[in-house]
Amino acid sequence: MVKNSDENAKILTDDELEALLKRSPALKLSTYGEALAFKTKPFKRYLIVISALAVAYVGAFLVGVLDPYLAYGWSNMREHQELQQLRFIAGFIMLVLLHVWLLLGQRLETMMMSFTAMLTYFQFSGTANLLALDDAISNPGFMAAYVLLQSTFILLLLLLIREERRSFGSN
Amino acid sequence: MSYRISEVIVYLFLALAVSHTVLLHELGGPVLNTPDAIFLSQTLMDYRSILMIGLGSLYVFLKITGRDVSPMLVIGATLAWLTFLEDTLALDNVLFVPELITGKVTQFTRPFFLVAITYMAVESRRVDFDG
Repeated sequence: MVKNSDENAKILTDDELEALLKRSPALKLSTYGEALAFKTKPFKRYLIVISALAVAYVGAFLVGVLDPYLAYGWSNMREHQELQQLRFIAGFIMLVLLHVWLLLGQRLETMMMSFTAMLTYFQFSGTANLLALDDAISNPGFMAAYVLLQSTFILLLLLLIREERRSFGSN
Repeated sequence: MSYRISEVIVYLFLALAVSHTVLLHELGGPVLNTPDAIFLSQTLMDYRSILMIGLGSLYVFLKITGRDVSPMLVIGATLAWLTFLEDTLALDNVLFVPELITGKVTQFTRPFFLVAITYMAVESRRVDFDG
């Protein structure tokens, strides 16, 4: 009799209870296919381009190809060398964070805005350093290439922000 | 209340940092010990001051017009931490001028500023998510 009353009092079935008790992870990594499923086509293209460019840029820095073209190459100041190392590490961390955040299915807008601000700061202070170095400023071709390359990353990030907004239908 | 206190700390630090830059500009060579420090102060500090004034003004503008300040604060906090890491890890505090009282006070209040702006960014995000 008691058992019967317990059965009637049971609001949830065992399956429902099990489903409720089962811990769902707060953050779940998805595949690129899943993460990009709701993104626009241009978003995917820009992401591939910026990732490939960033990896190539960091790789070129690590093998020392870029050294003569950065502020350190012109000034030979230790501070410039350390600043460049830190900035390239920051760039690589930004790229990794972008992909991890994407795979975690999180909104990327604010993060990409922060990255854009950081790259803009890098560009302005980097260009300012080069402008103060006579040898660098006397080479307009190099200066143009430097500004263009830095601007490409900023432009690609701005385009990614626009496409991120479109992906969520807020634009 | 905590947000308001953080805001005051941030404003105070911005005012101190900008006045320190202006003072360094005025005094120039005599207070900066090495040619490298003079060079870096000319290239890095001026741009940082412009950046701080720009971001600070934008924050005030967004606040007055009642718009969302959250992304702006996240950007500000990111840049604040980045420049702090640059100064301590890469530049070995070459821009720190202990001879000037503004230099000492700016350096002392910097950790407070970092904590305050990070709190403001997190708090604004929390309000965004909740609301």
